[in-house]
Amino acid sequence: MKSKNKTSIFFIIFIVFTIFYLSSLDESLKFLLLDRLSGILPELLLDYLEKTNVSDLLINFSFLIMLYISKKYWIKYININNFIKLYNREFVPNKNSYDYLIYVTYAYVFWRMLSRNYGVHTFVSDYYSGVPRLYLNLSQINFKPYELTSFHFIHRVLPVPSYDFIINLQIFTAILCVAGIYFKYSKIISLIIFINCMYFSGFVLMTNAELEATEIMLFALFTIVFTNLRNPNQWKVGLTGFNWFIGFYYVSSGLNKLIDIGPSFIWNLNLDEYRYVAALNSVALSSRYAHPIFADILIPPFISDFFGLMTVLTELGFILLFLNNKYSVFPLFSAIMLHTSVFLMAGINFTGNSFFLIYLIYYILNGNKKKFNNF
Amino acid sequence: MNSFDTLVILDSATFVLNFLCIYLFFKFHKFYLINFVILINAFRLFYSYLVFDSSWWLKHSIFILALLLINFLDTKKLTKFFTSRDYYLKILIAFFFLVFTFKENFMILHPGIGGWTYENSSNFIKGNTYENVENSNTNLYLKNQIIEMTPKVEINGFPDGYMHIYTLPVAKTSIGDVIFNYGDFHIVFPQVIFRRIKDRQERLDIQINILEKTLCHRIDGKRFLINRNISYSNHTPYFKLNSLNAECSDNFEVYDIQFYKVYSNIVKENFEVKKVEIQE
Repeated sequence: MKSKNKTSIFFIIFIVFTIFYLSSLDESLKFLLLDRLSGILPELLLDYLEKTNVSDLLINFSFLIMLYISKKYWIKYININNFIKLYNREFVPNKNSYDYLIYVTYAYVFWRMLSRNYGVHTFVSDYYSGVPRLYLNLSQINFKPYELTSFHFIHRVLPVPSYDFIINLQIFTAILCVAGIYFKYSKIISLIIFINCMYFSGFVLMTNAELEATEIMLFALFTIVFTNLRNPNQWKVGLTGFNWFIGFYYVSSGLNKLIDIGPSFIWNLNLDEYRYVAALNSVALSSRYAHPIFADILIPPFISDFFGLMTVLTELGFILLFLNNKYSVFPLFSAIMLHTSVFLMAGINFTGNSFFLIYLIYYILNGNKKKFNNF
Repeated sequence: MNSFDTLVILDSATFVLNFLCIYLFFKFHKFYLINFVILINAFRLFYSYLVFDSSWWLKHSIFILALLLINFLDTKKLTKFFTSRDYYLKILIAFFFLVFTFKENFMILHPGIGGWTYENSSNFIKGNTYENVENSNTNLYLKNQIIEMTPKVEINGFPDGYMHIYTLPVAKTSIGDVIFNYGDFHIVFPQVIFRRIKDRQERLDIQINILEKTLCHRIDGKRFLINRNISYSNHTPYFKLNSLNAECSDNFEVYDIQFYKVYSNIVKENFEVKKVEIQE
């Protein structure tokens, strides 16, 4: 691409960002500026800028100017060649890795099938797709992709099965998981488990929630089905895909935090404030779960800021997983801690992901013994 | 046609265009197709912002637009990297790109968990009335059960006299009154779906139907089919209520659900349940 075009693109993006961040200046200054700009800017944009009341993003504005001024330096360093240097070219997955993925996945699915009750969704099936959930259902297309991938489109024609049928299907899936650990390369077993799990999770998405923390499990099952159907000897491609998926899952979440809240996510996370909610939740019988330790401890604001920073660094740090970089064990380990903390404090359960994160620590560390020794 | 109808058409058309452009990129390896996908998806999000008037859409629209910065990298090398991968990995990269820029949930893959903070979440303390609740023995059996299940009484950081009130549902069953919470419904966000059911009797019937299937498990100390202590919690776990020393047979029935208000005070860092009364 010609450098002239690059500069133009940069200017366009810079101007858009500038307008966006102007919206968050102090009210009085903002109104003064808007008054001057009335007649120049479109009405719609002026309306938006008048309504928004965020006040402390001047720093971000300055940051953008700084980025622009220093562009010749960061463009020099942030380039594909430097990025490639982080890539661990010597990484060769351990040949047991695929078998371990099968064991971990089927054991986890087995545990989950015996613990979760998907049958209850049959009672709320009249409310299929009737509950708007903003954050992960962002388009207005009439036919939701997850209706297709979860096979729930069949319930546009057929009624939702009974409670007992769903329960029996869960038990059947659990039994198949045990069989799958023995017949680990079986195409039919892996396919049935995958379809059943997609179907069960589909109930959650179709009735009331945008997710139930099954994505990694479902992708692990997809990896197993894909590899078994294609050729179990080509397991390396499947595992690379799984590795990338986990990387995408966390990096996109980290980026979303920066998009939705901005860098202020770090100091506005305010776990120090939420601790009071958690303390009361830990003693109120109808509340979401919180560990009783939060009735005892007070969280200083700087600890909250530290956790805010760690959350962003951890999630963005998963970029290293795309590169098979040995240092990706840090975000992997940190994410396990993150899920545990979130479970104990806010009563949101992603802890099952830890099964796969621990597996990936093994995958990375045992992929290349030579590198591991240096590490 | 109103703006929402236009958005539905725009979203559907953009969705198809995404697949088409990515397919063409697979075939011809022209990087401008990627730029085109970024532009149409950024525009789609911007139009959503105009329709819904929420800055949330605008932020994502601008960020997606900022992906054009990828042009500062060596796009030929990027394309070469892409084309030299295994076919499965190529599809995967394209799928990541599509999901992240189009922002739709495919269940197996979604555009990432959003960000939220707990700013101002402790403001409720300022609004508290700090009323000293009289100790009352009304509904004493229930009150004693609540006290028994409350794990500890010390609670730090709250000013003296802080009053806490919460609503507690109790199921009237064939084995007596059973305290339960929304965790017994085994639904990720039960309150969201129950709010949608406007008819009170219909909502109650659905709740009773679910409890008749699930409550026995908890009474027997299980979560669904396995012991609660070794089970995997729900995605949104609730307070861990005790199991009961009661026979829960196949004939277990739930007749009604009664809501109670539980009044407590925090005095000298002690949480004390004072009064339990029926909620009208």
